[in-house]
Amino acid sequence: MSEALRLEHISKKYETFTLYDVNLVIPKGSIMGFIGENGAGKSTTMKAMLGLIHPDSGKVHVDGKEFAGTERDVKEHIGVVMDSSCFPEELNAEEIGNVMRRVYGTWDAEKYKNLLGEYKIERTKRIRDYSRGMKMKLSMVVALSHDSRLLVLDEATSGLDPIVRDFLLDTFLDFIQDEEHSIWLSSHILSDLEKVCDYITFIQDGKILFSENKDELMEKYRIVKGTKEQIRELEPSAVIGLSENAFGAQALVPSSQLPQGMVSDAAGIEDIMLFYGRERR
Amino acid sequence: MAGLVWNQLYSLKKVIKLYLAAIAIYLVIGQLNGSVTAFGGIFLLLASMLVINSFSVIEKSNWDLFVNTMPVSKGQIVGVHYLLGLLAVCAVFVLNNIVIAVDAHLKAYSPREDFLMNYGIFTAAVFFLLVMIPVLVKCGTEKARIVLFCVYVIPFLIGYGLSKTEISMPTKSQLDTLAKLSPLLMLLLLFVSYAISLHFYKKKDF
Repeated sequence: MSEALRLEHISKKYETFTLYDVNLVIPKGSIMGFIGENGAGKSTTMKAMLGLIHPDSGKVHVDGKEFAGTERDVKEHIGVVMDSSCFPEELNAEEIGNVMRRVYGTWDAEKYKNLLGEYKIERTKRIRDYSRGMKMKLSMVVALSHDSRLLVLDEATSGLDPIVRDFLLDTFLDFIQDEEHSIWLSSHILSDLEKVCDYITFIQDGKILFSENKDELMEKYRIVKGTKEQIRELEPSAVIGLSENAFGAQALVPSSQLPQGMVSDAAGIEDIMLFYGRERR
Repeated sequence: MAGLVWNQLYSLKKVIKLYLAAIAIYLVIGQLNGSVTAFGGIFLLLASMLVINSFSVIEKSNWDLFVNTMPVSKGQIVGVHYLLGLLAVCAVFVLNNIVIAVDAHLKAYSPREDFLMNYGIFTAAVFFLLVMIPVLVKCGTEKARIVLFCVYVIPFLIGYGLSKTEISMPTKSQLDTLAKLSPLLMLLLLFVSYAISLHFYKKKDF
């Protein structure tokens, strides 16, 4: 399977934060969800992959080409939606279209016009008067109106109402129908990621803890429930993380090391993320 | 690059309208006072200040982050500020010359001195612009205000101090030579200023 994006040994050191040796691959035709706590390194990784920061080491390959040196060609085929609108607020959708058609060689004015209608975006209203949902929809329309093969979406669904979120998720799934298309999606809304992602990458304190196929990941772990004593007696090497409360305890364990005779539930992405977080504390 | 220029023009359309209105009002005031050319310097200063508004709009909207995800070079991103600033200053320079020519024609006087004065202020405005842009790229609009205040006040104070000393002022022929060399000097300064801005911009993390 060919690769839409490959990050190799990306590191970046700031005064208060370090991104450690990030390696990840997004196969073409797939959606990768990127999860982690606030400040874990999601946006820094996104910035590194788009050349917005200068990594201390590592390489980025997009569609098989090394990013450095081919940036302008490569960016023609990347659509980006940030966690907030980055368009100057005085502009309206029509003016944005006029700007973008002069920037992107592959800009499709007809598609832009149609998408504005489909997304119910007012063409002459200033962006400053848009709701957050409208701003995100406009960003999405811009990202889809040129020959984007890779969508990079940083918290694009955060802060949106369920209807708009659902609409955007459907858009992602439509986009991915073309096997040349891929999406990198960071979000705190893990239920969204469970719905649409093929791969999940978890970053914590600047380190990638895992990057795996979502279905395999969800089969890989189980949540074992029992009394505090039962949970404490589990083989320590088999416990990824545990939590205790007044009524008992539960632990995340690999399915392959599931203890006999104990009650267990399937682990969702949110459970896996939470237990991995607890393990470290 | 055309797209980036349009983006800035759309973003600044309100400010540009405001500036045009201010110019119109000053021209009317000047006409009523009998010296329509008196405010040419202010217009040129206003034009060079447009770049600060341009940077301010970019900072406010995070456009700098977004534009770097698009298929444009850093040279183009920086170049837009120069293009916009120089276009504004040149437009006002031409406008001032037209006002001077019309006024001189109506009042039947030789406009040579006024043209020279306008050119002098034009070169000062271009100089101001070319110093200002690298500072704005490096520091952003907030910090740049303090830096620019120092950049302009210190030479002014030095000049004022020198004028109070026995040091002789430049002669007319020296000023003429400087005027003749000024296009070349401005071109050189433009090249240096752009190179410095680009250097700062390339080092930036967004």
